[in-house]
Amino acid sequence: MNALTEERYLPWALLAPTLIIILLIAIFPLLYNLFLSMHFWNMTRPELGMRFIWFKNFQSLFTSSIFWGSFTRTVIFTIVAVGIEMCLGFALALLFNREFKGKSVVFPIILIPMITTPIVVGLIWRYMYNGEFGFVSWILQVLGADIHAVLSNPATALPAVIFVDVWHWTPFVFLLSFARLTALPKDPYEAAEIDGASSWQIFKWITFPMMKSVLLVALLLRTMDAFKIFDEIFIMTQGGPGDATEMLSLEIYRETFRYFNMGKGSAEAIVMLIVIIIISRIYLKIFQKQEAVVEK
Amino acid sequence: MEKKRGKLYWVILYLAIAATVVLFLFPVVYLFMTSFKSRLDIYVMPPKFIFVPTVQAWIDAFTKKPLFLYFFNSTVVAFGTTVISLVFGTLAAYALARFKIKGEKDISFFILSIRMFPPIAASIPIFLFMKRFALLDTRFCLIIAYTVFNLPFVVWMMREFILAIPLEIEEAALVDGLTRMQAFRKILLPLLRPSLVAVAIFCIIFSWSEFLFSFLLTQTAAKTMPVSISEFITWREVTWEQVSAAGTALIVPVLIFSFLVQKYLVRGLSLGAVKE
Repeated sequence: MNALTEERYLPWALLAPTLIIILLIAIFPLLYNLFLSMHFWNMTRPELGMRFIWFKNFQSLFTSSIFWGSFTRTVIFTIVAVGIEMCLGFALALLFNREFKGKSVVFPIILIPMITTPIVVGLIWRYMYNGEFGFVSWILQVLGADIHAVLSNPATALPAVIFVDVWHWTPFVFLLSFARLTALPKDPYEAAEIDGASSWQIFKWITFPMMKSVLLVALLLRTMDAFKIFDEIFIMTQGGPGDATEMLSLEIYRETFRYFNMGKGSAEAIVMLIVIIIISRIYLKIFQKQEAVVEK
Repeated sequence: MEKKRGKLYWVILYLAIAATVVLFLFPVVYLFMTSFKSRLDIYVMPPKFIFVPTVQAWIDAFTKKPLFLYFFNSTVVAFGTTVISLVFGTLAAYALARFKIKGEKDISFFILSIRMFPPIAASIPIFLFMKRFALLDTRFCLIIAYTVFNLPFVVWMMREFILAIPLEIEEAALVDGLTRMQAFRKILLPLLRPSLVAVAIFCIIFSWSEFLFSFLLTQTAAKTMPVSISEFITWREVTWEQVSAAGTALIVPVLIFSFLVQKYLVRGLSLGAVKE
């Protein structure tokens, strides 16, 4: 093979398998989703067939209180859970960024929740929250709180689920923040020390500005993932009691794989996709800009 | 900048750290403990911490349900996915890292954006697609589905790792008359071995933990461990000691594997956005 043709065509040959798989299993489904979202198609009513109905699915979504309910619930869940995770994770990283005994033992332990399989996280907490013999219920009893079965009470189910997400993902924010903290240059701190800056001033003017980029990365990754949460909630409550913990992804699941309203489910999936795309566009923009900056 | 700290500082610091450790570790330990309890020791309030351990739950879990089959399925799917995504992904990464391609940046970010896809949105067409080709409930269909979600990760990570290797080593080989692919195989691949292992372990963890696709695309023959765990929970009863055993069996390999790639966790989980 001629070296010039090799330079020109070889990279495309190397990229081809990856691009073909992505086109086939990700892009084609996306387009098919779009196609389905403009159709009426209920798989349990084959006699009604598949009809093109323009944007009627979206219309009925946007006027449906169930859809808006799960949409706003997902937004609330995401904002509250990710907000707490960011604060706690960063605080924990600051706490860890000092000398103490046993650090190398404690560090991997804190990462355990993040590594635990989501389905098992759901399982653990469903067990802990159990009203009759769960550990959390026992603690609440000892503390004198008049709450049983946290997950079967509509008022406490959502906070309980948020708590689980915080437990699961605070270590993630911690890990990213801590990695960056330990890689920060030492000179600005020495200079500040000489100038007699207070610890708060050092944090505000040196640490925080240098941590901004990594916190942003953590924030966006967490936001995207929290917005599409499924496994943990599916195991713990299946969206219940009532619809107290029904998130968008569970709603899509119900619509398509329980009621077999493929059209309506696809329309919901498209809405979800648009939200995720907006968040990920912001992410990629920042990422492209920061790519050089975040490096040590 | 070593400062003299008061006693109070140390007390508060260690208390905070101890509380953190208990909070994050206890639930997992509790699951582990439960898997060795007898049923009588579970259904009591307050929860028991001292009990006679028994392996009955493990025996029951593995004999009453075909957990070995599900374990086998999980393993096959995890390794199948890993091999395919590693081979294709590394080739693509090589192309992106070492060739001048028109729109290279756009291709990279296009591949990365697939990672952000909500799986539930992709699941409807993939389900119909697999149904159409009679691929439902096969390990093959899971491997295909997982590969798509692993590829972006592999491409990005391997691109990073290749970029970190000085170009001169390869250039010397090319001057010596090796073709691009020979240079890749003989020079680059041996250097990339540790990175490949790390990325492979990440792929294994991802596929091992995946629930949604397995739940939607399999019924019996190709079912994986995470799905089997969801099935211990029925409206009638939950056999907590058995499901704890199954859950422990599921996460132990993940914990071990994660421990092996601890060094790469930050990079891996932020898709290379944060480097240490």
